[in-house]
Amino acid sequence: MQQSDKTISKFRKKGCRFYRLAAFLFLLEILSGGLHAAETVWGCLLYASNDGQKTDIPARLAQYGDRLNNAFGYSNLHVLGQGQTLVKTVEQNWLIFGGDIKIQFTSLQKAADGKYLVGLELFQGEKQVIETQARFSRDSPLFIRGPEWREGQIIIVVMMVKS
Amino acid sequence: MKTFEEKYTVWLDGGLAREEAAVFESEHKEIAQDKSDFLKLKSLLKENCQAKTLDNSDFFNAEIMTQIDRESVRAPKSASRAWLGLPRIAWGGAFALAAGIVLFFTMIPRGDLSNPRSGYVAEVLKTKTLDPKVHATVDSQKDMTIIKLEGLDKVPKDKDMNR
Repeated sequence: MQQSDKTISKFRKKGCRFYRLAAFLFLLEILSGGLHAAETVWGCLLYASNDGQKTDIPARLAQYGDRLNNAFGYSNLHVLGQGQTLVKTVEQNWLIFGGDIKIQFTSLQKAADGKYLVGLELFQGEKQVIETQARFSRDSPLFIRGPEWREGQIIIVVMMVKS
Repeated sequence: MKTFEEKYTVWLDGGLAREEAAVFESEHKEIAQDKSDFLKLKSLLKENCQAKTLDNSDFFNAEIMTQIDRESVRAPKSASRAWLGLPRIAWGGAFALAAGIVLFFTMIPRGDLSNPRSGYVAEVLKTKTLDPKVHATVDSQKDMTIIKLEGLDKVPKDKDMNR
């Protein structure tokens, strides 16, 4: 009887140790999750013009339509292409659009306040145009006025989105 | 003068003298089988109903009462230990707290909810052009940041920008 009590007690102690370890790992994962998580960057190419066509932009940018028209001096916006990529801290990742316009993400860090520090380079063909360091919050687009095309202007949009 | 019951009991216990027993058996032939049944039952009870011997035969009642008390306390205590032990409550609390923190950060929207763009952050920390012909200026408007590039090569009109 006493022997079986001892065995049960030994197993209980082992079970307790397992739960403690699991709890510790769970908390560690919660605390460190933000530091190492891969983040998704979304981007699109817009064409701003006065061609009289109806404005057609991604839903994510719907609230910026009128302000973009005012800021760039055109009446219409059309989406030419869009895409997203998973950016990891130690890897370089690309967003590639039509017309040989590409963005390379060279770094990404998530700060304690939840903002992202992003290093990006814009290429037109094989030529690197700019190198930029920016601080983003999620769902806050950065607009880049790109090259002229036809009767209008190319606008490049980059933003961090939820994976 | 003994009654039949008294004589029968003494006969079963083997207390009658041989002659007296022979007379009793000849007078009551129907009880012949009773003695062998009684002996069988007696041996069975002896084999299967062993009385537990106590370590100390002194203070018999006190020992019995102590044992009853011990066993009546043990059952509810082990049940309460299984569900309401202090370490389990502490770990349960820690798990609940961790789950609460996770839910708070993932489910509850923060910032000024009256204005969906109040959380906008797209801050250009530095930007550098690698082509001396290209100039970059940063236009930080309220809730909209634009990098304006001047001097970029115009994209040929026939270039397919849709991709």
